[in-house]
Amino acid sequence: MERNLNKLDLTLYEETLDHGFHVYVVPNKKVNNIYATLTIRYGSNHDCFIPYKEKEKVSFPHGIAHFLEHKVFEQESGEDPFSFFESRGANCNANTSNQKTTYLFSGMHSFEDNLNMLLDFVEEPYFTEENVEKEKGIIIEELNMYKDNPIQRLYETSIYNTFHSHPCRYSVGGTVESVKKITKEMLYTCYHTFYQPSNMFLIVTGNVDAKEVFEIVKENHAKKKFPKQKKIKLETYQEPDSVFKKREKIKMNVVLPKVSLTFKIRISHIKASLFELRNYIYYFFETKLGSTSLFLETLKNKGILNYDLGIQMVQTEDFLVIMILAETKKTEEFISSVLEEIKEKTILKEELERKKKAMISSYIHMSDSVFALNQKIMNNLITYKEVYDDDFSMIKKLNVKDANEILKQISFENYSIVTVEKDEK
Amino acid sequence: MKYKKYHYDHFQLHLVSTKKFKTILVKINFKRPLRKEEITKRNFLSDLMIRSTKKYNSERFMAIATENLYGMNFNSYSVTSGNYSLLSFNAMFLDKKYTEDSIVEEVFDFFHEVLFAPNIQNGKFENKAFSLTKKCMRDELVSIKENPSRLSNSHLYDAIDPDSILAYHSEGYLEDLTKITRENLVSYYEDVLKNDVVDIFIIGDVDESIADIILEKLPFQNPKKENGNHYVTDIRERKEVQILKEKSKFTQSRLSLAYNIKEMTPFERNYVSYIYSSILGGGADSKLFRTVREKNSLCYSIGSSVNRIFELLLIRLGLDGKKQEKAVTLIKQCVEDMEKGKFTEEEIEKAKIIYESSLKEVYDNPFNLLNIYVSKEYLQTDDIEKRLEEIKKVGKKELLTFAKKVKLNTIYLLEGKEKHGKKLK
Repeated sequence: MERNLNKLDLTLYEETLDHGFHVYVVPNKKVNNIYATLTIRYGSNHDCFIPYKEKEKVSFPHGIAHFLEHKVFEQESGEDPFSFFESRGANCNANTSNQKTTYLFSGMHSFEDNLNMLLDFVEEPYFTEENVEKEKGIIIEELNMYKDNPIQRLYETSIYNTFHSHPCRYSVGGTVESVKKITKEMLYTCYHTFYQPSNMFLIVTGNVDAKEVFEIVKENHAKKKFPKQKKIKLETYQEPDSVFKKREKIKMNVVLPKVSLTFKIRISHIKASLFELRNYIYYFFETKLGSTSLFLETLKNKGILNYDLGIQMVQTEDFLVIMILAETKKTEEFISSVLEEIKEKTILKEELERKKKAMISSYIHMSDSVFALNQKIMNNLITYKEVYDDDFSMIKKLNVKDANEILKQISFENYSIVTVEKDEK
Repeated sequence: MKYKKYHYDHFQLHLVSTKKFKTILVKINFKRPLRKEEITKRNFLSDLMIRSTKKYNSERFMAIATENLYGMNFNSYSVTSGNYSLLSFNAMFLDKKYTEDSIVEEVFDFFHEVLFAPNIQNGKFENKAFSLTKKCMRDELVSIKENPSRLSNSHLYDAIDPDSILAYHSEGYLEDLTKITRENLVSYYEDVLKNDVVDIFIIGDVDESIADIILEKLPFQNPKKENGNHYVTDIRERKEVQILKEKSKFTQSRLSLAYNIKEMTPFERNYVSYIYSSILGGGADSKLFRTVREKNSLCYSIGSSVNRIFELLLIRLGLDGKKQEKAVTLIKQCVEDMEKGKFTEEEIEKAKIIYESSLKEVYDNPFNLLNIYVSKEYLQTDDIEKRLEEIKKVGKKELLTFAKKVKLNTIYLLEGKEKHGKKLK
């Protein structure tokens, strides 16, 4: 199947192989580089499920998806994928979020070799007790590096305190204790459960031929024997509307105190597309508190804020979470000002239209980068479970009437506050 | 793609014309010799000038104006480049095909506002924006203490040669900040407009007719001057290696090793040093990564880099402080192996392929492509075609000659208080 990506002068080709493996390609002959990402719908959120070949649900230590990402690079032949890609002038990497794990490479030469290697190393890893033990030291250092970052601590604590049971509350990397509990057997169990072709997709953007990509993948998979694809049964979580903890104070090595205000917004009852919901809610906060708002100007003039706010969005099945991050010495005044400001749940037409101009522009800029375009397709698949080919028209259609109708139906009553203050010790 | 340099009475225009991108980038640089006592003022000015102008007299109106220009990204910064200081104003916006016919004119109108119509009243910068800049800069200067990598870099540079330009703090000085007033900053601003040398770099689907727009909109009166030498060649060497340890409140320790590389030829600086550093500590397949991380699990990240302007090789890693002695021994061994020629032709070839690929990738990215010409102007580096030819000439002989010039100067440890078994939350 092929579709034009409106206004980007590019075409998206997609194909689903027999065993359910999805392939998406956007060729661009204007560039030199090729970027390929192989994504598994398995992240830190999926820590309780019925393992492959078993009948009962089992809980795994936090951080196991991320640990697995590190270990998938181990091969029985001893060949090192990093070295393989480097010797072909390509970069290779991987990352894990709460919703997915991605393996990737970018490079302009030896595309066929590179793509085969990507599929092979991810589809045939080799774990031993020894290489699992060795990895623990490396991952613990990675976790320690994040511990010294106050914004990361603030973010992780805020998400933890917002949810009661949903696993998105746990840090993607887990903790030093949870990482220590991970064994070779657990890794294989998680691997076999989630790393099935039907739970994975490949996206290639850049100087390639779509047909060639499909052929390489088919030929590669024809040589492999995949076990029968099984539906993955995950634990479900009944989250209440309330937050787990309303307030927490962290002491650490910071010069400037920081605060987060995290709104837990139920969206499951609203009849609107997820695209509309996400955009209207995000741009509501952006117009109310962002760089073009009178609110921000006033708070700066009053000396409550010196910097723009960070506005982040996290999503689960039933909730949208909006986290406002700020650096301020006047925490209480800041919080009450935000709560006052968002009482009037409307967006002004003029403001939404201006934001739309900027949204369209960032959509078009994306076509100048094989990385940004690949990321867009991946985000679409993870967030919306489909790839949008006409963001341009979708953005154009956003309007204040619908926005204000939706905003009327949501509540900002449930929020959690976290502050980071200087540790005087 | 076509590059051409045009000389005008008061500025030079560097034009990279290409139809490859939908994005247009404009960079306007003001350059003068670096003076320690001006660093803080110059940083201050770069921040203040984009906070408000006469017409857009608050940050909010600035933000609204850039959104109206289809979400133009506009920023400014002041950086040191060896013996010189650059004050840089940058715009990234969408081509007229996706916006309006007048977009280029409108962007230069905006540049006019920022550069020639700052918010000065009665010989003083407007107070609100001025005070906010002062507060933010103070925060910025103080908050370096909470960033382990910035803090350890800054202290390392102080230690290597306290009397050189290297030890200047590019972020500025608190004591200089207090001396800046709304009046004396106006004098400095006027001085910049009168005495700095101006270079304008543009990339995108534009031709030389853009010069007419610049001449019409931007009444520069700056002088023409010869391009001086940015490279700093007088960094001190040490007969005995300097070893410094400092305690910190961070969890993780940061270890840095700094080596002098004296009397590099331009060929060594621009080519041999890349291959050397790539083999030693370039990526996941380098000697340092393999030895320190993979074989001994001592760290998560480790890498080497060459600071060409100051003739330094730097090796940096984050680790558990208790393991630093072992890490130092291993790192020294890796560097010694380079001098003894313990690297293969294969490793050299691999490093060259990495170099070539990353260089060819530059063609795909307007920012990086423009920077090739910025660096050509200031640092006399070659353009891409020449670089691709020159790199081929690097062989074992050249690497061995280069390796002999690498001399250890300082080992610096910013010691953390890592405790395992504490919950990461």
